[in-house]
Amino acid sequence: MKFDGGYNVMLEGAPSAGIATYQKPEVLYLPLFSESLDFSLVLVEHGEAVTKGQILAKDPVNYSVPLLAPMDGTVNLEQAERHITLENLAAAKDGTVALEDDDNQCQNLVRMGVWSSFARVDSGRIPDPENNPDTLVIPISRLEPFFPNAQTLLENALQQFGAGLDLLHKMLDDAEILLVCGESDADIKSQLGTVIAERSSWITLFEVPDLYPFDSPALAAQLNNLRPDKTWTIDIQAVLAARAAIEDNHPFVKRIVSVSGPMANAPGHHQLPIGYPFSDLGFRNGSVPQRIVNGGVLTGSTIDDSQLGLDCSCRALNLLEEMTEREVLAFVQPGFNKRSYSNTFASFFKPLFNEKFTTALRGEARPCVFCGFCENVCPVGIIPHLIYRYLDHDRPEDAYRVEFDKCIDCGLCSYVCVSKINHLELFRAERLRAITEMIEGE
Amino acid sequence: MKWLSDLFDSFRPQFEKRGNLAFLKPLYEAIEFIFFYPPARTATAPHVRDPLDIKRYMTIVIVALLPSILASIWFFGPRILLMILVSYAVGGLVEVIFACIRKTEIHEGFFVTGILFPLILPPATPLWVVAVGIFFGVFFGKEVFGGTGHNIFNPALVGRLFVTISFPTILTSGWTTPGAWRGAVDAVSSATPMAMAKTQAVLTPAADLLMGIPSGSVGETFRLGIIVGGVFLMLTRVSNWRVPVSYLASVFVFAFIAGLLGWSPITAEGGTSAFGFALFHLLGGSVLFGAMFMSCDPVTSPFTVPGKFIFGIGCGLLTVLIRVFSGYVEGVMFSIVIMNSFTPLIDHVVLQLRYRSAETQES
Repeated sequence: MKFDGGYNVMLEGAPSAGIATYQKPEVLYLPLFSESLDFSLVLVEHGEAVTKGQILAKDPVNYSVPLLAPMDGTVNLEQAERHITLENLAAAKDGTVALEDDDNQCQNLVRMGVWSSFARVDSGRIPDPENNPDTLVIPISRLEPFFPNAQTLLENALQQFGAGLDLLHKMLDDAEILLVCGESDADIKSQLGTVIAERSSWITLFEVPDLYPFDSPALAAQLNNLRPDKTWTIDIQAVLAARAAIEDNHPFVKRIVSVSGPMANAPGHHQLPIGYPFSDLGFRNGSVPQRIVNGGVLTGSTIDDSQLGLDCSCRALNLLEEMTEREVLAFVQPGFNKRSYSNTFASFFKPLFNEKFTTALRGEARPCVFCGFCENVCPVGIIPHLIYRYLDHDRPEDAYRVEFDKCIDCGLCSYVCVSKINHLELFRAERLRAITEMIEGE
Repeated sequence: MKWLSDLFDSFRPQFEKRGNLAFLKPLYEAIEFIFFYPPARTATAPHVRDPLDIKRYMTIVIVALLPSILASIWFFGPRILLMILVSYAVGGLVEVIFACIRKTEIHEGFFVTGILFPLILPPATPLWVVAVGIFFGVFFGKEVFGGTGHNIFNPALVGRLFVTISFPTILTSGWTTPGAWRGAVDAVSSATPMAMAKTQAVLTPAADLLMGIPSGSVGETFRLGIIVGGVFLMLTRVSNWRVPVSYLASVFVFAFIAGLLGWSPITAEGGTSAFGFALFHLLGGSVLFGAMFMSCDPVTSPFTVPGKFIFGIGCGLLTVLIRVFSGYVEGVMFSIVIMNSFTPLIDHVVLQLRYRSAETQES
């Protein structure tokens, strides 16, 4: 296997292993949206008492995937805009949800809140529960700073993980499963050894360099020549949640979320219910302005002030300091504390270290000078600056001719850009346009 | 540095939209942003960015040129500083005027052009010729194409080409002997190694060339420093190794072939091996300087990987052809400018081939 490109952004504040305890919330703010979902169909009324696992709202565009109540409580629809607020919280008496349809396990996963964790690798959208993929890609190692680490997720859960894989394999009409694992993740590889050995006819371990973004399911699909439209992906948590949903009737209402980054007080993992208030996590009350990133720092989205609690797609929160201090004569400093893809800083002579990034652009936007860094880091071997130029000149057909469809949205081209051009933003806009066009066509 | 920041803050309103000096905003911002980074933040993903920016990128080129610059001052005297000053002042003025007219930022590429230009002139070039050359180079070589990133030809070479053609006597007689200004050598001026090879069939020894003993353009004589600077530039990834390496390798190979076939009187009449001939062409003249600092300009050389090799080999072939067969003693400038004009075509053909083969594979 030939691997090109890739680069590790080494950020301060990696989450420590193990799951930290958290303060019990008094109230939950359940966003009626997430990065890919919009729960526009609200099924509960103001003041209604709900029980854990009850459907609060649905996303009619995405196969009616539901937003579930994470605990027993009372619905308040007036407290916060675009949120369902859950008050008078109580631990659930039972907490299990009866399955409706024994024959259609996919629909059961929709009901139990697991289906929204599935994604097609070609579009990133939720797949049709009536369809089946050829292959299900599950990233084990996560190389973008930062996501929950596999060690923590699989601690004491290897057997359940195996059972979850069995279930998914059967449920998805004997789909093959591809586990993507970093080369040097020896612990995890040896732990997974038995899980894989027992199922070697349909599970493959795909070892990749420990470089971002080789953990990407879309990249794994390309490198293994899988059909992108017949390849789906889910993460470790969703595998475990699928098993718990089908075998133990537990709805998927709690997530293990990593809270990390340079501004996190104690970077670590927390098991939190959906809607957990950010204020209880200690955000937005520090003296230094912070940016909360939903997801990794290279591809995640900014959580704005109007979102009050954890959304249902969230796996990771990364905290960055908003840049406020302007650097003095930055371009002539030796730069012992700045790590760069180029070798133009004195840090080149230092051993690798984690950097305390802020949200500074670190330079000025300029026209492209064809330095070629974006092409060099690109893991799929396309020419980002060329595609950017085509899209910028409103020539998408030319962009697709030079294999824009291979792009996996890793954002490394924008990260290394000397001229501070944001390729990723334009690429995503084009993809959104194409998808919208496709949906409208359907 | 609070006082400086306050100072800038107090001046800023003058240059804002309604200020008296609003038309000079690009100049004001260029100065302010040299001292303080612009307060720009990432808006969307990726939320963090690599610390390298265009200012440092260009500064690294100047750092790589330092051995050549310092050596040139040692060889040719403080006059070189004046030439650099004139080049920066006149070229900078053109850049500022265009930025103010276009209402865009002043781009940093000029810092490299402004230093490269005096380094490729004969050391005794009159200052007014420096001024005319850099004016032409920046104006017609870059700005009329749309500024940094849009130019087809290397602006410094455009300027050099212009003054070579416009003032041929001045540009072929200014060959001061290195060290003459401080009385280290007797001869005030002397022929360049390339001219000696062509007219007298005398090859300057490689060691002399490396140490910068014979005369030549301002920055091209201390070749050891050029090699150090060029390798530094490649190691920092600011220049891509493919163009300089293929350029230098092809000069050597083509000169070797020319030597073997006896196309030059030097090798034809015996006495010099083809290897010695090729080595002389590799080190002599401005091949090293051109390859390390001019040919690899990313804007004016192809961006495709095969294109870079084609470009480098094309430069090498043309350089040897001009040197061996034409009336000119040196062919570096012409070969790079000629290949610059082929850059869009090379990229176009490479992309066509690459993506056509991908399409046929799929079908």
